[in-house]
Amino acid sequence: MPESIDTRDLLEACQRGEADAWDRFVRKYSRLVYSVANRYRFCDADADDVHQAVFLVAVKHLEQLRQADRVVAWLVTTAHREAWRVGRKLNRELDLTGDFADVDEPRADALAHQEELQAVREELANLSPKCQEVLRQLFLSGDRPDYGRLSSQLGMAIGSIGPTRMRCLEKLAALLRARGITGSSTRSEE
Amino acid sequence: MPDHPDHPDHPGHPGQSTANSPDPMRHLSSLVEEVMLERTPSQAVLASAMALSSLLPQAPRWLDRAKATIATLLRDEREPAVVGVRNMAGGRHMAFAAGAVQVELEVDELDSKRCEIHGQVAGAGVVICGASVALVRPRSFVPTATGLLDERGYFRLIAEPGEYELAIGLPHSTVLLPSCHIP
Repeated sequence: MPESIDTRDLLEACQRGEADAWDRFVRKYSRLVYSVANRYRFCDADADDVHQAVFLVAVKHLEQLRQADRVVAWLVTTAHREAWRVGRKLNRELDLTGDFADVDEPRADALAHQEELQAVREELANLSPKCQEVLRQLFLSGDRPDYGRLSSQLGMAIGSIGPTRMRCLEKLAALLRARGITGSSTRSEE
Repeated sequence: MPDHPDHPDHPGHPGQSTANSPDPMRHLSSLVEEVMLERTPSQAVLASAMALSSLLPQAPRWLDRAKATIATLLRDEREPAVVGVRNMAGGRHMAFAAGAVQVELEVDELDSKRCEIHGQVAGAGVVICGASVALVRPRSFVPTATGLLDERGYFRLIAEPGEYELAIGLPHSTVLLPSCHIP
């Protein structure tokens, strides 16, 4: 079920000690944190360690999370820092030429990209179940999807899959625009 | 290249790939693809993180908020914090009302040093089951007895006779009743 919880209210509820609010906080940002660990190609166990370490830091420093619009930046920076720690324990040299020029300072465009991804995660959950399924099946099918198989899986005519995908993306774009995210590329193409 | 215009891969198909779409939609598609393909944490990992709720701030902060709440209630002339106080004979049955919340409580002696306060919190539309309740010394906000409301809003606390304020932690607010003397 999609969750639309004002971040500030969620943080205040966590700071009041409400356990269910903490659960919602974890579910809301879990994939964001995990995605930072995955950028360093950790195995599952090490990525899990980074995930737990970040939320441990978060629960101990909830008072620092006062500004709702800085939560993503704070979590990304903390996740990178914890990934760096885990990497050092593994004696791995992490590539810092990518998103983070400095362990405490993510590049502005890398951070903007993470914020876009987080917004997409949250707003995908606000699409209809049908739209979510169409987009999931299409994007997981790779570059040359089998439309015949998708047609029977989705219970849709082959000819309507493409337009439905477009409508769903347009709905998603509208939800993101309502959050001030215009969808223009903010990252230089690699 | 498929000939039929209804085929999704036909260049003229309205749902054709984002190669021919405006840049924002192509960018959005790439974001969606990145999200769809990312590895996600297992349920066990989520549960471990959620279990950290045991480290959340505890009662003292909740009681700090009670102080601000009662000050706000008292300053609101339209809704005074205490609408009515009834003292039954013997001063052992008291009733308070603060906005939509009503509290009735009784005091019984347990022994020479302790008494039992049991009561009920009621309020239309207020979810109270599991809410915290505490007796605190006035102006100190140190709880001397704490408990939880059950599904009927009942609670039971044990304390030594003295002067206390009753703090009730309701969703989105804390009701702090003025001091009453527990005989």
